[in-house]
Amino acid sequence: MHARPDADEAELLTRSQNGDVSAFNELVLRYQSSVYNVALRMLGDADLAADITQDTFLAAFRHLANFRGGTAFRSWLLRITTNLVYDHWRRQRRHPEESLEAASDEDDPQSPVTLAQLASADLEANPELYLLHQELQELIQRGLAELPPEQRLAVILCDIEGLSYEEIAAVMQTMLGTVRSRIARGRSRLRAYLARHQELLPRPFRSP
Amino acid sequence: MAQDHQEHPTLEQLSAYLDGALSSEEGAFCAAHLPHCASCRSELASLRLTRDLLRTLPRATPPRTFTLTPELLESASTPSTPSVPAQSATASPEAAPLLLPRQQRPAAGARAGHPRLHRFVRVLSTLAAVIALALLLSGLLVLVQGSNSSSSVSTVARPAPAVSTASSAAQGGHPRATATPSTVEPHGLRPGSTAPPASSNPMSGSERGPSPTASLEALLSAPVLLLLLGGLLLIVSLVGLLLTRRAGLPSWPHQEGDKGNRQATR
Repeated sequence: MHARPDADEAELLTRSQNGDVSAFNELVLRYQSSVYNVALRMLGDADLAADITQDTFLAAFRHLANFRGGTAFRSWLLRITTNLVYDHWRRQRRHPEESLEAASDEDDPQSPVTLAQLASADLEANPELYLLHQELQELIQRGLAELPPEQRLAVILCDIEGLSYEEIAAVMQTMLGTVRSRIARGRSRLRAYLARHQELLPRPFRSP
Repeated sequence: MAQDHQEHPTLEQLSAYLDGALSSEEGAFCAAHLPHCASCRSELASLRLTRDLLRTLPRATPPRTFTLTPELLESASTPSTPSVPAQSATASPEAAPLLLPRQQRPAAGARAGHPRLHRFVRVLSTLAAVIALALLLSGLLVLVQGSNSSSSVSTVARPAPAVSTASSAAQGGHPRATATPSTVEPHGLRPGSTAPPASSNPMSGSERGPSPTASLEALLSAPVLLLLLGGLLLIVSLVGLLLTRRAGLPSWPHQEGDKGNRQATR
């Protein structure tokens, strides 16, 4: 599902640039998961993320002439996504009443579970574990939301999307050193957030 | 194994070390330092835990497929969105993403209705333009007739003198003015009263006066009103047309004609 810039993709891109929508739609299918997940983690809102995803591909198709290889297509796409997310935030800042997120932080402490258990595939088999996992996800998402946007984006691209530092630099149009520092500061800040809520964390994540 | 405990790796270096993203030199420095430094080890461990926690987040499955359909392409054929990065974009990483986006889009969910909305606006605008032209023409006609019969020829398009000569224009404007007397009157008062009161005798009594003077007043202001209404409608319709045109719809054939007409009537 991930980017492998091969001859196949180059051909799809060429055809898309010539206006072949079906070729472009193959690229959509290939990258929609990446785009959607980045938008989702940036925004924390599934509907919005879907909108942004659709807009990303529309804008990409319309401006495909601007894409000239060099960077990976995925980086280019994710850059559009990022811009749209920023756009959304700017609009939201102008109309703040649209977004009033009620985040209640008081949850009851959970029984400790190991990371290995959490990472294990058969979460569905264990409803209790599954529930905890859900709560943990929400906690992490709230932690991400506390990060400044560039740090959040860097962390999401690195630790959730698994992009290399070089790809992240291409998405964020910045230098490797900046990427490095954003990831580090983002992780550190998230660590602090999680430490403040460590009673919600599985045991391996509690500070010694 | 040279050891330099005194100098600790930075947070950045430790974080990048986790990802194997350090230069070989820096990587070697960290690798050499860590075995001797408990605090750096615990720092590294907590960073790693944070990262692992992030990695436990499952990939969300997109709620639908986002392939482009003809409808989507048509509805979204908005003018160039500057949020698309130019490939050759120079630096300014913070500013570039903040370029203007899609103000054209009022609400995130409203896209589905766009083509229909556009068509609706276009139709409405054309209708408004047609009505506006009709109003303007009839207003002008009334004025011309009025000024002809009162033998002041020079002023065709200027409303203020038209009021003064409108007493005779009443004959010409009769059918239209009596058709909508109640709505005409309140609006008609304003231009009439602000205009130089050349023949003002009937106006003074018109506020709640007897019916003959009231209807006379309505008739008096009819051509001015027609012109005003026509102008307003024309402006509205032009705005509508311009908006729908900006949204990338096929350029509107009447538009140039409308523009020309507007200039002609001024």
